[in-house]
Amino acid sequence: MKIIDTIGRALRFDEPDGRFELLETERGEPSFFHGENPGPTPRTTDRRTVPGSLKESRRRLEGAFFGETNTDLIRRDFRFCGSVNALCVFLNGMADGKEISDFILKRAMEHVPPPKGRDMAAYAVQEVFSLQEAEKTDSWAQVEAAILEGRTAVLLEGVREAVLLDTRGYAGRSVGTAQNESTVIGPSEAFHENLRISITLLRRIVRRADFVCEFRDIGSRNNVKLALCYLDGVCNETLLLEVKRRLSRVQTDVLLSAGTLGQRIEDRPWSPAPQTLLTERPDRAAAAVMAGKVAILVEGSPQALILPVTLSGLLLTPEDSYLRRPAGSILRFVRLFGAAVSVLMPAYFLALAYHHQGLLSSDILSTVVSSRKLVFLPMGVEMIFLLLVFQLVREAGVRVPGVVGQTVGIIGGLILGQAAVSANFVSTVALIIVALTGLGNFVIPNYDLQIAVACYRVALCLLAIAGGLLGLSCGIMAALILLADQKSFGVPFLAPYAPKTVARETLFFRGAVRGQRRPHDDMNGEAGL
Amino acid sequence: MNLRLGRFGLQESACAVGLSALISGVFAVNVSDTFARGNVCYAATAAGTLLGLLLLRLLYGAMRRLGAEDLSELLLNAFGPVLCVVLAVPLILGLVLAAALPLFRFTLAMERYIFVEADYVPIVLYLLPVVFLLVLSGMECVARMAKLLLIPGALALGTTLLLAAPAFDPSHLFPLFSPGFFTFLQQTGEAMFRFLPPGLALFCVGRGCQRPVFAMDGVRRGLILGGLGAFLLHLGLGLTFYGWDMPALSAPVYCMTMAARQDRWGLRLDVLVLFLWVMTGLVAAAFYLYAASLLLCRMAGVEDVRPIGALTVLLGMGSVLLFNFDSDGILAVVRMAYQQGYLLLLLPMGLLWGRSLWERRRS
Repeated sequence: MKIIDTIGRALRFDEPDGRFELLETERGEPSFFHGENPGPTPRTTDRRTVPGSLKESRRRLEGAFFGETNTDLIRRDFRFCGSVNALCVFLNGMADGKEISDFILKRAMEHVPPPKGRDMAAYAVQEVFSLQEAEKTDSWAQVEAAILEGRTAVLLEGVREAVLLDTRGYAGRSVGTAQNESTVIGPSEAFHENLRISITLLRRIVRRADFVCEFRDIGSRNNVKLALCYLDGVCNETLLLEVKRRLSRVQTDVLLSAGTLGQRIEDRPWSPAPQTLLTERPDRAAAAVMAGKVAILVEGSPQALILPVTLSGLLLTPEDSYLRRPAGSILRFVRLFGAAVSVLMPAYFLALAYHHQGLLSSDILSTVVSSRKLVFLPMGVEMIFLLLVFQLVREAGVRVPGVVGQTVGIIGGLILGQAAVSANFVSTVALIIVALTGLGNFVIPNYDLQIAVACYRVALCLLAIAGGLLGLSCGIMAALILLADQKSFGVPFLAPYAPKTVARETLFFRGAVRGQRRPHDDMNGEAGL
Repeated sequence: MNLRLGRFGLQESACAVGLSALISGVFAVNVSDTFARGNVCYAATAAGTLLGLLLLRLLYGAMRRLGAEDLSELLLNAFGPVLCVVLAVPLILGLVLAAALPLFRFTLAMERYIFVEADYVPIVLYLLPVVFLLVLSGMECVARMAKLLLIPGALALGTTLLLAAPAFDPSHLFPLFSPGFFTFLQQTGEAMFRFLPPGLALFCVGRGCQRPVFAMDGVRRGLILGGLGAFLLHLGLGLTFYGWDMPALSAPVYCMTMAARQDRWGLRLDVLVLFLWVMTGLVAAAFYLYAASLLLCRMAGVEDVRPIGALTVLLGMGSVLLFNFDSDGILAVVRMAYQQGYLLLLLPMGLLWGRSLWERRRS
């Protein structure tokens, strides 16, 4: 049956017409012929309850955490209120030892015995442990998950419930500044690897009662914690359900970060253009949430995953709105011009040089010819080679830390370029074009989009070499078709321009801040209404 | 079901119709015959636009009377499952022809003026994948592409007129309406044929419009805009060349940009403008071919547009290749397609309108 389904999927002619329609639910999707496909096999849940015996609990814990070899698992025996044998379990380094000593062990040992007949677990939560988060549970799976998170589990002899106490206190850096999305004006805080801190950074900006942070576990056995942040009632419900459905299908033991999670839930894995936005800036994530989008924060990733995303969203920066309207509009125009130059300039030059020399005036043509007089590489190879070198220098500059990275860029850009021209390896005209292309590439504010543009650039260069302006036109059309057909979680990638949405702000000119009461919503959601 | 119709709004509908009308109105003209009969094409274009709009309004009235949301449903409601297939054939052929004629003209222009050492076939082979990709991506994508290419299309129109402006001479327009009023009427009929396919194509995909009324609104706005653009270009042609000079030109619009050839900022813009036209023409061709595919799918009861779309694209691009064969028979067919092609569309349209009136009287 599985083979038939696989063949059926490959040849399927019954895909749903509109991809935004939520035909699928978290339970699965409509199958090839009829009925409901159950979807991926659900996780095998541990349905065991907490045993009343401390001996059995200890045995289970040592089995699950490989207690004989795993010295991180601390098991501390003590007498609860001087009357009941108890076991305190936590992971060394993940939990705060001082909190455990002061607010769990000390309190439990000093406290008077409970009245007879009283629920011991409830008594411990309500009257003994003075930590801000404490709960009791009878699920053994929850006990294991809590210990892995850095919480402390207290198990009592003869009690079929465990007390879970929030003692998470692992070491981490303080809130830093945004490194990759720096702006001249505006806040400079960046998200943190700690999920709680990241949520706090977001909550400090979005001060609304309807701002919801929904916690979920994803992955398979790794149980990565993530927070789904959105404005309830503003975020499109269909979008939210679709995001949840896709998240529920992520089952992997591979390490998950915000970046890999985005790849697992996007529509088209082979499209060069990004379909989610990774941002390290809380203000950008907050603006997206206010506009009805969903932000996903993943434990251990100092970025937020914003979805859905559109091309205009990828080309804008928070600085646009911090600056005054004319300055913001000029910045946007410069950025779009830079992006266009970055995509088209090398291919256009190659098309003219190979097939349409007559289009250039004799002055320009003679300059090009004289600059190439002693260059032995064909022009196409020269251009592709230079583009490759540019990526090489850029990648080296990014990977080498700090000031050395900048030095690599300078050496690569100036000295290598000058030497290549002197050695008649490349022409000055080609070098200028690649330098302009590189500058144009750097004004694109999104790293994913920069890489996508590089892919399109090389493809267009090859088409221009083969077919001149005809090849270039056909390449541009093909790229536009792919972009126009692409959707990010049901939202067209080229919205709000094609198709038009209720958002009034154009891509080229920044809208007025004065009098703006609602966020610019390019999804036709509730935010813009 | 995978008809890839999607949803599109009024702006996208109007852009698809407008660009297609502009391309058909200007580049689906049989230069050798049309201008040989006098320089009245600009006036015939304006009259043809209005006449085309009137006929499409009548067809929309028939759709409303018979409660149809698109053309295939209208055919089915009016004539039943068998006869509707027969009547759909000329409509499909008309749409394929409307896609092929401008592409033929563009390919010819590129072969003669840009890639003088290249053959005709490789140029067509460059265009084929783009049309294929666009048709198979579906109507939603075609409509968005039309919206995206509105600015390049307008830019091409404006630049063409600006480049040619120094060569404009009103005396080229005289003698007006020569050689007679009959020629003007005949050319109006031909112009009308060029403006019917955009509207018919939108009616074919009418179910994808956000609201049913958008179909007619899109046709009206698009046809007026496209017709205006076509009129301006034909007027520009009339002002640039004498009527008797034009039959010798295989691409008069390109020649118009060359008429007052000047370098602008060290670059010649005429070739760039031609490629803007080609890009716009590809979207128009895909629009027609998708509409033809959808109509064929509905008639044949096929619920996936991809196999039919591939077939229609091959038919359309095959026609583009065929039109270039130097054979008397093919030349006669091409000439007939240009001059009497509108009869293909008028017959089913007339029957549908008559049937809807009869239904109204009967009820």
